[in-house]
Amino acid sequence: MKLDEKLKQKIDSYFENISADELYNILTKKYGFVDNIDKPIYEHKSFDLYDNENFYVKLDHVVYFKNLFYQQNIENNNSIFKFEIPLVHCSGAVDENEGYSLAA
Amino acid sequence: MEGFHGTDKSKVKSILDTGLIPSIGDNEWLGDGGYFFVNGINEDPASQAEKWAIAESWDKNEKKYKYLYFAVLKGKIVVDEKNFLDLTTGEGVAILDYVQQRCIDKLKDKRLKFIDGFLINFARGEKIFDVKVAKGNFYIKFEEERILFISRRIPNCTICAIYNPAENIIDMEQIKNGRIKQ
Repeated sequence: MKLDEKLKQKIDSYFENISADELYNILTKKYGFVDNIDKPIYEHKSFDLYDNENFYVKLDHVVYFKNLFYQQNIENNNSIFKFEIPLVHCSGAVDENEGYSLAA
Repeated sequence: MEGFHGTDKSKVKSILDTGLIPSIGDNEWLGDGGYFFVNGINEDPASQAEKWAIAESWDKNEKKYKYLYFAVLKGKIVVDEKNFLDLTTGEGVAILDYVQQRCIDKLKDKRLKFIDGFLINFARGEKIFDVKVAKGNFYIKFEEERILFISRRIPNCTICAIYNPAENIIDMEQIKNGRIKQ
């Protein structure tokens, strides 16, 4: 396959005949795309990629994780949220009993 | 083009009798399809299919083997050039980039995470282009890389996704089987 004029026209035709809202709904609901809401958690904290690692995070208020795509099985247990993030490891000290406080 | 598929040996009869069932999910590199190692940047795709079958036998969540016997199947991948998306070339990547750019332009302030497999699923599902087989280079972790947490970026495999295996794979046969070493 090559991106020749014929193929370009076919692709363009699809996008010319769909609204932004329709496209967004199709991408997210039908094909599983997720919003890209990467925002810094706390700028002085960093998260490193690490395989098969789960840890507990104690939250004082809402934070955005760097990569929500890997966020799974969030449970609200009073003020403690359990995040199981298979591919994310906090580079800071983690206390397995107390959790890692992200409070500013 | 010859392709090699590593799998659980107990699935071989079903695959040979009724065909390969496409893998589905967000971890699929080239979208929902049947996957084969092919010649490309790797010299021995049959060996990589075997290593893949062995690596996949381990269930890291359950901490046990899902199967104890693996098999490697060989098949001939047949596809017209007009239905073949070769993402090992600039020409192929340009197609996917163009679709992605059109999405971005259309969505404007809405930002989505673009994943290769999702983008291909979308383009196929919406009939934006008629791709039946896609090929790409990827870094794939086998047993040793998983045990040692090796995560390089430079691709080590060339793989093909076949979206309708019954149509585009012929002459499937088992070429090897063996026991997983525990």
